[in-house]
Amino acid sequence: MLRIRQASPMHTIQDLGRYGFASQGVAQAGPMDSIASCWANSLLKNSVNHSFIEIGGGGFVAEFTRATNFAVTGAWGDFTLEGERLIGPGCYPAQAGSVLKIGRLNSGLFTYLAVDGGFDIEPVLGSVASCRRDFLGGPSGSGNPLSIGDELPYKASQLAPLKLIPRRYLDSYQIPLVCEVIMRNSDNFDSTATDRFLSQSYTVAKEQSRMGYRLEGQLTIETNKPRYSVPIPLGGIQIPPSGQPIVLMRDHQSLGGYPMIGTLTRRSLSLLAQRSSGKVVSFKPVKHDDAKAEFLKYQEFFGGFR
Amino acid sequence: MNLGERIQWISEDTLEVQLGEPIAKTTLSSVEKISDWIRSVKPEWLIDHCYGFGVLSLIVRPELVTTSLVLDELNGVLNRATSEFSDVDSKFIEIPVCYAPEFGLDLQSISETTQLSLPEIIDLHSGREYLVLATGFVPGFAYLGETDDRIHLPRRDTPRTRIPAGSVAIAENQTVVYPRETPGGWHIVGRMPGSIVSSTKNSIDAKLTMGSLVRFKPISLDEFRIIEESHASD
Repeated sequence: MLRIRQASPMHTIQDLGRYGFASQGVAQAGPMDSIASCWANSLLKNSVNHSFIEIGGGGFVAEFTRATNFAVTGAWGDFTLEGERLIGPGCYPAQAGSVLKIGRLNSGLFTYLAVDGGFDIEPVLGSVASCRRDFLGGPSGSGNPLSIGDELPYKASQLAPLKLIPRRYLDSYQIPLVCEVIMRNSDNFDSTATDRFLSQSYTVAKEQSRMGYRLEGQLTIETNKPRYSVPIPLGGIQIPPSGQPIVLMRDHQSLGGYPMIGTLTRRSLSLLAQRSSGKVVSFKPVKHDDAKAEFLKYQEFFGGFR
Repeated sequence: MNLGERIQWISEDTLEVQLGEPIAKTTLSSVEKISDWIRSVKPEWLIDHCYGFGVLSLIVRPELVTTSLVLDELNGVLNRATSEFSDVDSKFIEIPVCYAPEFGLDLQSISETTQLSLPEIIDLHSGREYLVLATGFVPGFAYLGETDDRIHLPRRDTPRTRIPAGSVAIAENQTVVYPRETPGGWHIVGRMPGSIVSSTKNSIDAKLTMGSLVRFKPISLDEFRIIEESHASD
């Protein structure tokens, strides 16, 4: 069992998400940074859809009651196992009774923790992904985040040597991010609006959640307001009347009434998810064919990707 | 009916198809045919779908499809005379609504804006059948329309932070039932007893789905309590 000793409302059980219920208004949920979560599972040779813990903002402590290998990826900082510092994103052996501390972060926002074979949690609507807005998923099935005293069952396994993610695969979460956007054919934006969106840089605003990230730029973007709500894709970029973009993240609502200027690629979305408020972001257009090729490369590399 | 070129990739794995005018009957019948087809055939290339006001979005396995393949499939479904999977009996739904002032929180302000009396508002709201125009936003939520134009109102300037579950509300040319307590900017006219949606570990059972025909039936406060209690003891 993984016994939770310290947790926050940003610590949740996830898998790659809940599919097949969007038409009924159910959010897909899943990891904010799916590249990091897929790394965690694939280091352990799990399927990428095995359950894992998404630890937002650090401040997590848990005890492994059984021996297992565990992987820690994504946001990084002061992490220890039995007081010994973890040297980087990778998978580590843990003896029965050892304590993992995910302390203060110095890079990124979301850390991923997976164990051999995943956690044994009953899926709701085909997935264990926690979504508070929908009261679905997680250990109780009703969307709650992890809390102190929770015990997550897993199977004991043979300890394997430490393995790190090769450096060439690691992304910085600190440098200014150029997000790739699949632009949308839309009557709601004229060329001035599009130029402005693509030419200026934005900072990530304080309002960031699993539903969406707000961005702030010097110049606002003018749009026509559509009369009706339409389906929102994951990574969709809405322009509300304020003229400042909102990027829709994993727990976004299924329908929305603000016009959308484009959609982030899945890779850019993962990298944006790791940016805390004040970080600098800009946009560049990408062709769907190129974005799709990259997406399929990730699928092949990890044996699945969403 | 042919969808022609109204399709675009909006992300690596998501296609968007324009089905037609947002609340036209032809559009609604297209959505109904397509969603019945998806439910029964479960195409291998399709991961999830969502519909809202004239726009269908399809999350697909991008390695398996092209835009023209998807258009061909959808056109094939639309060109069938009627939906072969449709279950006609389940289409008509009557929802009891108590329009008492303790539930119809905005009836008074609607009356002031529209210059209609409370009974007139209730008659207009309950006096016609509504079509489900779209579903989504949260599980069980359905947009119904169109309402009588005498009770068309823009959304409230300041949304309420909490609208009680079961509240029946209006805004613009539509009316809705809130499946659970959420924030919202619609004008509340009453409340239904019981619940508009239920779910199990494996499924969501929403009363209102695309193709449903809905009528609201006014009930008294006593009737509301009786129905509510019978639901509680289920």
